[in-house]
Amino acid sequence: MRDRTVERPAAWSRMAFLLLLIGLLFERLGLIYLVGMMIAVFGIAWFWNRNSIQRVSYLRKVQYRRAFPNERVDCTIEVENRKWLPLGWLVTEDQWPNAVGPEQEDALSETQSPEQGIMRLVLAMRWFHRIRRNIPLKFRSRGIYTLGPTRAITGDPFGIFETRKEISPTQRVVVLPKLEEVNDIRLNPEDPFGSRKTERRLFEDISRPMGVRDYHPEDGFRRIHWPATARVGELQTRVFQPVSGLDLNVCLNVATFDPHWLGVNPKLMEALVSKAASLIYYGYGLGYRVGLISNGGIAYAGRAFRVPPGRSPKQLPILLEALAGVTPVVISPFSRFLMAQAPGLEYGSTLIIVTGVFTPVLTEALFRLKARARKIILVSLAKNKPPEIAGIEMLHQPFQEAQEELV
Amino acid sequence: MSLSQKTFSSNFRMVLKQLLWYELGTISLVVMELMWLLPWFRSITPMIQKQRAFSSLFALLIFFLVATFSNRILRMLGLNTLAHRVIMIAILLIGMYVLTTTLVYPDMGLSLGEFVNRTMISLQNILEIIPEGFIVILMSIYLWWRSLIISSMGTLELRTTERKFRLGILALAAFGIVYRGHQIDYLISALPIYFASGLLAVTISRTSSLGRGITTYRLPFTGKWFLGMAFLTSITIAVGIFTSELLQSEFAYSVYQFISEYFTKFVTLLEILLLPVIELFVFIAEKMVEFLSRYIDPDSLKGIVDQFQDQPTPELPFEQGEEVFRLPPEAIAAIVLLFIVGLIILLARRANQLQRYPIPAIEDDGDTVRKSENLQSRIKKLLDQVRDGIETIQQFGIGRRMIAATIIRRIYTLLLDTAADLGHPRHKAETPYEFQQKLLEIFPNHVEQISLITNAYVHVRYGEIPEEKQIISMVQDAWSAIEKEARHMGKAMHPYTGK
Repeated sequence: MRDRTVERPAAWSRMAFLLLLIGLLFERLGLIYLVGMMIAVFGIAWFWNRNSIQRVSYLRKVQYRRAFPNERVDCTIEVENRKWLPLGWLVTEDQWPNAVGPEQEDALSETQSPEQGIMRLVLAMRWFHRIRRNIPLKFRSRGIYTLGPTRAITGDPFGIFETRKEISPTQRVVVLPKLEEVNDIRLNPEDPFGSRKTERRLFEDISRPMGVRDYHPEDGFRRIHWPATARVGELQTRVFQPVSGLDLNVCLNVATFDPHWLGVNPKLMEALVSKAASLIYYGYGLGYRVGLISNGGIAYAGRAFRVPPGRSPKQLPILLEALAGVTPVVISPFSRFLMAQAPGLEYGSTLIIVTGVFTPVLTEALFRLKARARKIILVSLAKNKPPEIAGIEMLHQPFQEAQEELV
Repeated sequence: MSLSQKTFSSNFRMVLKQLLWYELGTISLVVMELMWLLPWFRSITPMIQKQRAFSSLFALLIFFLVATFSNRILRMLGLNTLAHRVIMIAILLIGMYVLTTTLVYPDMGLSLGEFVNRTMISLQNILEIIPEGFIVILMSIYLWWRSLIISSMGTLELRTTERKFRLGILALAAFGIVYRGHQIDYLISALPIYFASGLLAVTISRTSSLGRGITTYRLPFTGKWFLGMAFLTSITIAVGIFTSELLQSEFAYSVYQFISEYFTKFVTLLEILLLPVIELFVFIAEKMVEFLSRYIDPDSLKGIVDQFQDQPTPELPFEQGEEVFRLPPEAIAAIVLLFIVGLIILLARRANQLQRYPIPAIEDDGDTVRKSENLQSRIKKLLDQVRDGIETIQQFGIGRRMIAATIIRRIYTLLLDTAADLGHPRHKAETPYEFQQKLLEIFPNHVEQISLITNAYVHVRYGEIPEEKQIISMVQDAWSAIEKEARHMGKAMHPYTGK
């Protein structure tokens, strides 16, 4: 941690020494008297300043590290002086993004950056004194934000000297994307992500028995249906319902213009992220192993990312956090990115393509992907309806101004 | 490939010629500056009037040249900064000593200690002969001016208070150096009060600056806190008085004596070591005067240096080295006049700065500051006259470029101050062009003016000083327009909080 003391005490001590020397050499009583006062005043101030910043702690306690937009989260700031020396004044300056700032909007001091503020507290502390301030925060917009570092400025009680030090490390908070209602997604309620049944018996769901048949020598003993065998008098084997697998991959295209370098439509971008998050949430709720790929750079990494499908309890927070960190920076054109990712996709998994722009190149890419995927659902927020593609289910929900409140 | 002898000698001659030409120019410049300095110098140093004018001129000239060439040689050698500074300070000290012993106390063989003591006594005597009425007038002017400033201030600036605190200590130190005897009692009685009030002023300024901009959370600076600070200040002052007494105790004096013995030995050693150098300088100065006197007849230059030519020196009414010291009445009158003119210009400039923003509303109708329209116009007129004077000087090219740069820098500083007052201070790391965007947000109606001022400042900052007077007037006009709007915006602000 950086520690800086203003170097004026040295200048004052040099001056006092010089004056004392002159006073002694030329027998100037007044100078000696002045030096005595200077030694006392600046000596006490120097000592106080030197020790003031020691054993001062600043603790930032945010109730929840993750929350959804417009949620209120309590935050407690604890400043403690763990020594006998009181602090006449102490200023703490905590870097604080406005998007996760206090409910009271003018509570943050302005900085050079319009997106960043400073949580500035001015305190006076007794010995072994702890001050606690409760600050209700309001998470305003999606993203991954860093709170801190905190800089403490204090010094002697008179304010002649001052010392600055970073006393608290950074902390990240995540504002997750806004989730839509299931009805707003407008998926087929009977079979939202495609039928689980398949004609090809590559995979079977052992939780879904569909009948019995005669035993074949290649069948395992665990599949023998013993009650039926006893009843019929011949070995019978259980038959399970064939499924395409429970994998669901959401593919998010963050480009909002074609070509992507024309710029960014932030509202459309947020709508896309929100749609992807809602699909993930819904799919996870239905028991799918959900994964995510996106051609957008992720915050603090600056590269495209892929979260493989999973069903662990941590999977949903991981996916939503990844979506919280998606930036509009397009790392690679979506169709090219999709084809590059295709070998890594689980064979037979369901693909949901979420895009705000539709290009002929993307049609070509979807045709190729179809060979690998069990089902492809195209969720398009583009203004114009994409052409019908055989074997690809399409949900066209054009992004309109009226929809902006959703964002 | 080697140069032919002819080419080499030709080049060498050319370089030598250029070098000599340059040095001749430098010497001419120095002589020119000395020519206007010397009459002043001689008029306020009656001791030196006994010396020949040329002695003074050459002694000062030699010192100047020694300092110039030493600095040039040191730069050429590429010494580190500390060594460079130490050597240059040593040259200054030696120069001061040599010049004073040569010009003021010739043939007296004063030691360093005696020399410093005499100089101090002279300074003390000078201060004592200033008329008391004049001092009272100055004090009245100063207090009046301070009352105007303090009554116009909305908040206490920490930096300003700290600077004043430091300057006060320096002033007290200067008093302590100059005076001894019964006057020291004034100093001793003033010191505790000075430090106590100074500490409280700095404390309150600190709290004032900390409290600025805080709107949401309550500040801890309550009455209880202030009482605690007052208590702490009184303890500190008590410790200060105790330390001062300790420094003058018998024990402390025995320590000083011990140190001073060794210090005296050290100074004596230094004197022995430096004596040949000093002797050498004195010898060179004398020889140069002797040599030049052979070729230059002082009478032939009478017309040029008439004002400082040797006059039949009147008998001094006191013995050399005596404590009584008198200045010629013309010199005193000139100093007083200069001082008053300087003071008036300073006050006028300050008053002009204060008028940039409306003074916070004061309920008392009897306040004289708000009704001083006539005073304002008079001060403005005076300022215009000063500006005209500066322009007249500029016609002759004296410091024209420097003044142009200063005007633009000052205007940009005023612009920054205005933005800061309106709640948009410039960050240290912000470049002028970055800050320009913020300025455009504050003054959206003055895009051209802000661009003009910023560009002019950047050019000045990076070496391109405007030659044309028109550019400066354009920048001034731009500032006037912005200032007018700032004043209008300032009126809409709360007088105390600035919100």
